[in-house]
Amino acid sequence: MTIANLCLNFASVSLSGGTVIKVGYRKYSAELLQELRDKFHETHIFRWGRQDDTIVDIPVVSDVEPLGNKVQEIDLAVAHWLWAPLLNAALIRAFAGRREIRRDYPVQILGHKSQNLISHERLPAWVLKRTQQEFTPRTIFDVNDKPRFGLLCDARVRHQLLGSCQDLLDLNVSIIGRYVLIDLPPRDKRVQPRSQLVGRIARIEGHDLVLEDCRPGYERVQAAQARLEGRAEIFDWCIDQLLGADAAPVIADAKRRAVEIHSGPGRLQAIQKVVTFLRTAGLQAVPGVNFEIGDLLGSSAPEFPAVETIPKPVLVFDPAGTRTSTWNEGGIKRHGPYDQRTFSPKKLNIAVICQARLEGQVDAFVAKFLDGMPDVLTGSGNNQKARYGDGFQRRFQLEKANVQTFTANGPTLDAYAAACNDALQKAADGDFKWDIALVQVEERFKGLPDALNPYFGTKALLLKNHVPVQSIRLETMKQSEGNLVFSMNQVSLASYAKLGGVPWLLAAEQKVAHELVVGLGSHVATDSRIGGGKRFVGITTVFSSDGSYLLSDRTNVVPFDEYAAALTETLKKTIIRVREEDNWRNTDRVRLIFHMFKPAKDVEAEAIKAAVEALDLEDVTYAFLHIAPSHPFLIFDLEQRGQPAWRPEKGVLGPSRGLHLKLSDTQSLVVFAGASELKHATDGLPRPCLLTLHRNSTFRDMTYLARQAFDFTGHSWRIMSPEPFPITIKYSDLIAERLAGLNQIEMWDNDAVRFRDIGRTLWFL
Amino acid sequence: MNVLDLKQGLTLHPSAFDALPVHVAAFCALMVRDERVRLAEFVQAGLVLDEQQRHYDVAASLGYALASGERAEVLVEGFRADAARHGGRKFFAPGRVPRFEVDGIALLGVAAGLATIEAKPAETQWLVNLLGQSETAVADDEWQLSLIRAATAVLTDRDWSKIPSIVLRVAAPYSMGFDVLEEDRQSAWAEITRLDVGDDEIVMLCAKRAVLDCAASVLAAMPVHGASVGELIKLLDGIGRSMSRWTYEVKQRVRGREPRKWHVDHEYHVQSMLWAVLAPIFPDLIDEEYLPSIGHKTPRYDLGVPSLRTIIEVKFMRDTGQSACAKIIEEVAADVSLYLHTDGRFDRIIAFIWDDCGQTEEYPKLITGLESIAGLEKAIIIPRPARMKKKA
Repeated sequence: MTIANLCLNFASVSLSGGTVIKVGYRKYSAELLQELRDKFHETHIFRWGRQDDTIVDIPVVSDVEPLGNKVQEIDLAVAHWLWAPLLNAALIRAFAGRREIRRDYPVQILGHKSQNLISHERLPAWVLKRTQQEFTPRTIFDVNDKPRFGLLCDARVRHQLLGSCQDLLDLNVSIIGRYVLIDLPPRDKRVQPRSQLVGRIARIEGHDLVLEDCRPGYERVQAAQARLEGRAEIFDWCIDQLLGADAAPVIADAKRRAVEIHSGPGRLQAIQKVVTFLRTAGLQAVPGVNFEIGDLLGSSAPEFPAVETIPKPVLVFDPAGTRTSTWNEGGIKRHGPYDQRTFSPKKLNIAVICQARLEGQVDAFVAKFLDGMPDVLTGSGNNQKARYGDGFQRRFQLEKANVQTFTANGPTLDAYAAACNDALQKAADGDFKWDIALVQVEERFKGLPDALNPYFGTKALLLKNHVPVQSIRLETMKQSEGNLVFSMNQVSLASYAKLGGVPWLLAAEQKVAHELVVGLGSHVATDSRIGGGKRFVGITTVFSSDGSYLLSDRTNVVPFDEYAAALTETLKKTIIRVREEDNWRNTDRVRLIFHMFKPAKDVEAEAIKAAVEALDLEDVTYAFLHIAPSHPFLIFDLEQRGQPAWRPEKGVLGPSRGLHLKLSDTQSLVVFAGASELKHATDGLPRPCLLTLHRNSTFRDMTYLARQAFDFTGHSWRIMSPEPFPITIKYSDLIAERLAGLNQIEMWDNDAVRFRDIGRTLWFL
Repeated sequence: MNVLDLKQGLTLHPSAFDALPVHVAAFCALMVRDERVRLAEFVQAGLVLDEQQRHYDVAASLGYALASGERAEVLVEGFRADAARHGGRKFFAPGRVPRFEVDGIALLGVAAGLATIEAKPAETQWLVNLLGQSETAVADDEWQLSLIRAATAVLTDRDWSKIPSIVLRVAAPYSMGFDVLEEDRQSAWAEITRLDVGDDEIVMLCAKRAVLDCAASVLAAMPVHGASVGELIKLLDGIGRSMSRWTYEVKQRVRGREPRKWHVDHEYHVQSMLWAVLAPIFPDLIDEEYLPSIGHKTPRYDLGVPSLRTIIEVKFMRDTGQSACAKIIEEVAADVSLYLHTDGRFDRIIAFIWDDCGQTEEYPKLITGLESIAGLEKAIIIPRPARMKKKA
């Protein structure tokens, strides 16, 4: 990757004109601030001055005075904290009356209806697929730590079903079971109404919709007042209902056009176009003071943030550390797994659970899985390789397994449970134990309620009986052999890990005596979408020891409300245990790093510190790191012509994995999955993750933290390709998701993974 | 196999060490005598680290350095502290991936270090226990098992016969200065000459190199090479004659070049002289090695030829008279009693005395006195040549 050819979706912004202006001050209260904004949003901007607890108001149109009871002059050129609200207000004024403004912060504007990406003569005009531009003011820091204010611009596609439910009913579309929105009046007339999800249609009575799983007060709404939400799958379903047999090509054509906009070149072009427009739009901060919009920031500009390519992490394949590789698949093929000398048992008992009608296909799949596919070569020219030529047994240095198949007489939970029971009975009668079960499932099971899903049902029954489960979708088994070899790589890796095997360790650059990295991930388990459903939080801990990172064998999952307490408790338990095992001394330096799916609250950070202080460790530092996939930053690599190089079709202009931009001392952008990691050309432009360090952190080396988070994405025992998040978060997500599903199964017993040996394995992969 | 080819095959490229973990590099350096100088570098790099950063691999590398003869106090104390810290750990903890526990090279390094500093049983018991568990864990891996059994042997009974790998059964004791059974040496020699060494991993390559050196040291001691103990004595005796050509120019011999005088001013100059004479003939010649401590005393001999089980102790007699001779006899007697008690590799000593005053009249009585000391094989006295006039 050529770092010199990067481009951020960030246009520098500066001020020109006489920047000394009058502003008003008054004492702050939240209610008053809201009231002022509601009343004067067209003429003033308001900010809460935290330092002196005041409301600051600035007139932004001509012939208007400050409202505050104390008026002072300030120089905008140095009052950088006011630039963002002023720019935001200027954008709203610039677009008001010209474009539909969907949101006021960050400002989102919609493309013209005339440029609808979906069209068909029988589609009503209120079915819209249109572009949306978003503008977020931000300050970043260049290589010399000098702040640079600017505007982040993004472009994407939004689906809208603006017709009412009554319109759909009039067109004979059955909408029962769908969630509906109502539009609430906006606070600012220049902005579109705010839509709010109110409930799911249970039935229709006259012109009214009777709702279930609804917000209080919305048990019944008029069909003419409600409309369907614009989620992509609802949108496509609606087109299908409206056009019937004609729908498929229309949907496909619209998707193709959306893909063009979401692609690197499409996005960059749209962003450049809107930046060009803004540069000539005469944006004013206040009368007489203009915003000057620069070009998109390129890596050749001195204002560009510090950038590096993080090297691939080193994986260790033997205890002495002499066998290492930066490529997991290559390393394991060359060296074998880390624990090959100590792994036991070498001769596995494998139960295969599948539907009776698919037994032949499944048997063939299992044979390929165990013995390999040496004749299937992938790649081109001289680079052709048998990616799964060795097979599970040889790759992990196992002996020939004892494999027995147990069939379910249908695709139901009960049928699968009966097959599992047969397998368990067989093991009990033969006085042996199944080391792992390979379970054939189907893609369509995902659409079933968790309580009826054979995927969760077999997992519940077998895990409870100490048998780890590797599920394989029928659709995977049916893949072309050229694709199947890659799936086999993943399945074999995850299976070995579930057996308790250790494929490799991640080398740690230990500059501090002891380091613990705690990851938090979450999953929302519910059939309800009102009230947020029940969110579970998973907790995974990794700690450094003897120059590598080890995964703590006890994970945890708790309801969201209890996570702060559970985090503290898990942390304490882990520290106490590792401290004893590694013979820590009280004076040893200890570093605690938290990878979080949400920003930590001050109170949570302080609670953790208080809990650790009670452990009598004298030298502890903390880093609370929020790892966010959603944020307004985009990186373009202008040299990236697409992947793979010999047939470029995906990830054009996408940044490469490992790219790290240090935006400030507390923020970094890191590309965990880049152009090469995209699966399909339709995946658009790969996005970096935004890493933000909480202010209460006492360990503040963002470069170290970014590199470590990156290393953890390459240390997954679930898939051979890098994870989109560090395993600390990804594993936590998986634990939360799996346990949420398992809890829906009547026969499940949480104690199986909390207290029994199966809980020490990576059962959740 | 041609021995030269074998030696070539067992010669490491210096860069081979760069990619190795420190304890593996230290093991290799111990095995290959020409590379032992690296151990001092590893010690320096290891001791610079904060104690908290010294993981087991660093401790093992310090252990190998100790086993090679390094004896700096800071090294001994640093290693002792590291071993104590690691000894307090909980090994094979349930649900935890073992690392140090199944890393044979690391276990051997720590064991070798503990054995060298003659750690008390209370300091070594944790490792003895761990080695028992480790042996079970790696039972199916012959090489790891061999390393672990070598660690047990060096730490306990010095019984190398339980090491399954014949290569390590010779390489480990030889490189740490212990006796090697002749039959093991022959078997190991047969093993390393039997197979192509090209595909060996570096660790095995180095162990084989130790076997080669071990075999070579025996060859060097064979009479056919003129290097038995008797031959050694003859060589040392002949040095007096060699001194007739010792460079000590009083006038210019080559135009444009200043006259040179190779002064012999102290004991180290004499040692260097002997090294120059003996090293080409005795490949296992070693100098200034520490021997295991006796109480507060850590003896260090001047030169040693393990293959002949012989130490050469050099003395520099600076003064004249009977009292000076008596002092030399006392010193040699003390050395003999220290050296032969503390190291099982040696059972005879040759005293080589440089008489800086040339008092040849005292020699018969002095030699009789010295050679009456039990364990002293021979006393050889070289008078300072008359032409080497002392500096004013």
